Amino acid sequence: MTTPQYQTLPDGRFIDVNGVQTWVTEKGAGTPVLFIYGGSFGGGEAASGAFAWVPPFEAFGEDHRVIAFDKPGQGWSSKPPRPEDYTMEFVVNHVIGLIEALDLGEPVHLVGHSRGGYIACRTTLLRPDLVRSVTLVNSGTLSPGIGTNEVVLANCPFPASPKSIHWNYGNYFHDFDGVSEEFIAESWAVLQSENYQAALAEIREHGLMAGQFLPQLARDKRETLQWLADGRLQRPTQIVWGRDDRTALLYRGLELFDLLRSTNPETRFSVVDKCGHFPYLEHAEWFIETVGRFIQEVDHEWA
Amino acid sequence: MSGRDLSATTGGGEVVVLLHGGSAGQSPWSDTGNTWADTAARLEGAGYTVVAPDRPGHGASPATAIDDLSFEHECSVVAEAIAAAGGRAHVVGHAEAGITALLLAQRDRQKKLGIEVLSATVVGGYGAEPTADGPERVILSDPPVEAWSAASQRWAVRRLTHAGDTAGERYDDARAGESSRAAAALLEERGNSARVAGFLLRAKSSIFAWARDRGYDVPISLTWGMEDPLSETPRAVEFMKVLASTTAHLELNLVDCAGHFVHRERADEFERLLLGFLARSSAQ
Repeated sequence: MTTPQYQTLPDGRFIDVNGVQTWVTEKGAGTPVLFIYGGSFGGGEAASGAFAWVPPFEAFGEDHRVIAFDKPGQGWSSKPPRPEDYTMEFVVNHVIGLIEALDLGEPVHLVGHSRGGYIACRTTLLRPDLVRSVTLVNSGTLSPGIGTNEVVLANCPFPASPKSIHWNYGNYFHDFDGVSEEFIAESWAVLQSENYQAALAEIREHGLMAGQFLPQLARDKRETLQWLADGRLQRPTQIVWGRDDRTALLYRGLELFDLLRSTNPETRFSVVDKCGHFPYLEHAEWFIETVGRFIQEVDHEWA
Repeated sequence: MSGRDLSATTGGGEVVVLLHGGSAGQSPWSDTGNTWADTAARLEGAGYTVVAPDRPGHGASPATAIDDLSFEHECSVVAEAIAAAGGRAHVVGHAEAGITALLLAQRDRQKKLGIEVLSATVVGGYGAEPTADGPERVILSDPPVEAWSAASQRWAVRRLTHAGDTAGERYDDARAGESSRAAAALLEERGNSARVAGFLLRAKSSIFAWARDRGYDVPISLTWGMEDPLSETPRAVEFMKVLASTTAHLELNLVDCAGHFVHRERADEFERLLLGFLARSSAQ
């Protein structure tokens, strides 16, 4: 089988992690930076993937070992092996398995967006030995408060197509038309792929999102917020937020910040204006500078 | 429509449909139309005609198939009752039934079902308000056995009530307990709990998309207990933002010293608010 590739990222390879054929790409040398994107399996009208990270992947690749990968049942990676594995817990354990399989030799900087922010945080809580710093980007999944993504994205008016992808991501963006054609093309390629459709079919057959993934995530989130309140997150942490995100409102980022900084002295918060859910795409230069400086400072302290 | 009818259907005034809350087979208490006894009496005293059925899956309307527990089915059943009462009505829904009220308040659905909804009132949370990726609520996770016994129901209602027993619930309705157990048995069948979870997500999406893309055009009132352990008041405020695309009147009333059962815990205050809203939303 030939390895599928993105047009906008360096060619990747497959490695087996916890029974998932996992697509991974790497670039550069230096302290490792692992990117974890948002979304989850089961999206019928848009599909995220490692391609989301192109601007910071390229920029941090200049002086770091940057790693982007696809989560189980997303992007080019194969679906979770069993129906009962369609849970956030499985996805988190898959990241832990991936970090171990890559044998990085030193702790990693995690950069997690949205659902991936929750994964980055949960990974750090479970395995602090693997993690050097955590960057959490517009993560409503992790934050306290009221999620409004189900309002903004309810009932996409288009069937699965480049148009439905534009509608989905356009609503995440501050500028509806700011979603690039390359981004839409990458997402459309994933959405049409056999792997992605196989996961989607399995999810629909068993009602795995409403019946399993979401209730188990709610259970794990309660525990996660309790752990954060207890002060278990003790790695340098930066929260980054697009101010105009209608799916993860700014006040939620502030509540997360308050929760973390009450017990972790190394917690930062940076917000950028005229920006929706994807600051690393809508304000790439700012994001690269802000997160790059944070990672650099952490590296300096650890050196 | 099966279920108890608390109405004097000869009242002659505008029709008010009162829909109790709860999820059949999931909520650890067995709600029925009886929850509205005080409200119904007050409304009838003011000249309204009241219909307060047992929603599908509850009380005298037990579920026999899992689709009986869908909001689509509930909308059809309630629409039949409205049609039988003359074709137009105010709809009041407690908690989960607030979803039904807001689905029926969608103009296209009214046309399809051949009814007219004069206003929608949502009483208390844990229904249609946005909750995405919220942490699990554990307050009702472990009801004492035997589930839906009088003691177990009393335990549940006390937990949702601001000041102990102020909800004044009766727990001796054997038929209501049986319906809860029947629904729970259906939910245990393979795949059914996922289907019911899907019913809820789809109903909420319909309300959100309608508010976002079309906008409501009937008056809506949200009345929230400030101490509701199932839905904090910021959720009500966020919900109001979602509905604010309406071209009609929209109001939010936060009632103090009230938990999940606003209409029983603060009956006088609730009835005063409801009567005022209904009068302002009258077809006349």
